[in-house]
Amino acid sequence: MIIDCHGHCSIDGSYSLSADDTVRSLDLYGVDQICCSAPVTSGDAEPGLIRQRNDLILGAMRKYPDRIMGMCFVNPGHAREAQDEITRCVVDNGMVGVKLYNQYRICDTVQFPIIERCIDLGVPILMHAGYPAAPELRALQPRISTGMHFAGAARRYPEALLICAHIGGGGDWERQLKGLREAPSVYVDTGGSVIDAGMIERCVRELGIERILFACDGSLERGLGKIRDANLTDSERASLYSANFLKILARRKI
Amino acid sequence: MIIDANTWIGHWPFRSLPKRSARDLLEQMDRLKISKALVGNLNGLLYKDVHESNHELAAEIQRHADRLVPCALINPLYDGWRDDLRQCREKFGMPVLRLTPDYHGYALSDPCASELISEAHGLGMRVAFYWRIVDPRGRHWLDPGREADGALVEQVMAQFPEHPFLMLNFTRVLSRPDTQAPCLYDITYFLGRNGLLLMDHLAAHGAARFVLGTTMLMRYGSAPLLALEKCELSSKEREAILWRNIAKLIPELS
Repeated sequence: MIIDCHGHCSIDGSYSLSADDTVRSLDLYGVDQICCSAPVTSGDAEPGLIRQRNDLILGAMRKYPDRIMGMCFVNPGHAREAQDEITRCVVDNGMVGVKLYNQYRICDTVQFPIIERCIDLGVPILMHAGYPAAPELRALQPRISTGMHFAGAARRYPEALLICAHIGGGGDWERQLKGLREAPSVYVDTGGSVIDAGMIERCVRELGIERILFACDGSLERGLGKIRDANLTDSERASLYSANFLKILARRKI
Repeated sequence: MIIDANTWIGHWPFRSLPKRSARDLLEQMDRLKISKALVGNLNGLLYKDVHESNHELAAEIQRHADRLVPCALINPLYDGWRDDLRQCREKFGMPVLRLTPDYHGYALSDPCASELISEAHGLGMRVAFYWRIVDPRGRHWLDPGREADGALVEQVMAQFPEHPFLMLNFTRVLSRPDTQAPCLYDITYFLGRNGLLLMDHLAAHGAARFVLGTTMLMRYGSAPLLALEKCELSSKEREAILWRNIAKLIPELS
């Protein structure tokens, strides 16, 4: 079984791929399920827009309940609305976790109520992350979370299910791993367009296979290709492809 | 048959590569059922005397000449480059010159670039442009490599209208008048959107414009093959991309 734990789509194709195209791709590449979100990645992530985005995911989930799972995007800067949206999407409508982008770092105090709510619900937080190597690229995302930021959040909340997104998302992934070594409770997903040789083996060596989750983040061919090529045992590949993420989903309390 | 138009061996100074030798490359090629490959030597990117890397490459692949076809690296700012280039062609049998101007301290707009290309054509060599060697998001702070200026590449190509070029690691097809020789693009960076991006490019430009390139041993090699496998293509189109197009451009690969 293969589950892509980090993808994006929408019911109508207005954000990333449509649900129909997404499922067509899953069928083509032999992926069983995908976990999708529709975060606001630039401009003002205001509550009205966030609700619209999450509705795009809810529509996709309803059309393909056996194939598409949803992650509820929220902006912790709108604290009350973020909690309401988690209630609407996760508690009432079956989304499996919360998606955070780069509006704040994972260790910022504004995140604490979100993290605490997710601990209460037993659901994971998938957070956009990376260390853009070039200063001009870092300046574009001043609040992007690095491995060290995850380590800070994990020290405060070791029981939280934190997922550091797309180790291949572009940026200095080796540097990310240094920070994540200090955060034994944090998972990392393998998504992103970067397919540097040795990257997956380094993740396993530094973090252990039980902390690695399969993901593509929009490129199934790269996502699957790097796992095929990585020097892993069948057992490790099975853990990575779905078993680790299924264990996370099993911790849901609602 | 499968031919890989874009491979490297050697040491990449900015990141530890798990595999570096010709033997390693052949192992990966065997795993992916790739028969032959054009191969360059990463060492030559930063040597003062770049030509030493051509000597190294020739010696390293000598026993594998049936499968590995070497590509030259030449710095047109370094004394004796014309003799070095001739030696690459006549002694080492290198049919392709790869241009990496950022690493050798010149610009494509410099007269020496045109002189180098002209000299290579005079020796019956094909010339390869690189859009980039690495993803700029993860670039080492001392790495001089940058993404090429597409407009500048088009200007340089326009000086040689009768010569086709090999376009490696490009993310888009550059414009070139129909009266000029068409160029071949490797598909390495035409991946994404869960496999749909490559299909779009193939529909827009036709299979005759593309070749397989994996960028091994810098990166994992499966992704472009996987993407190609999933594209709806006739067997003739698939063959063209997998080997016929590049074999026609580089007869030494036949």
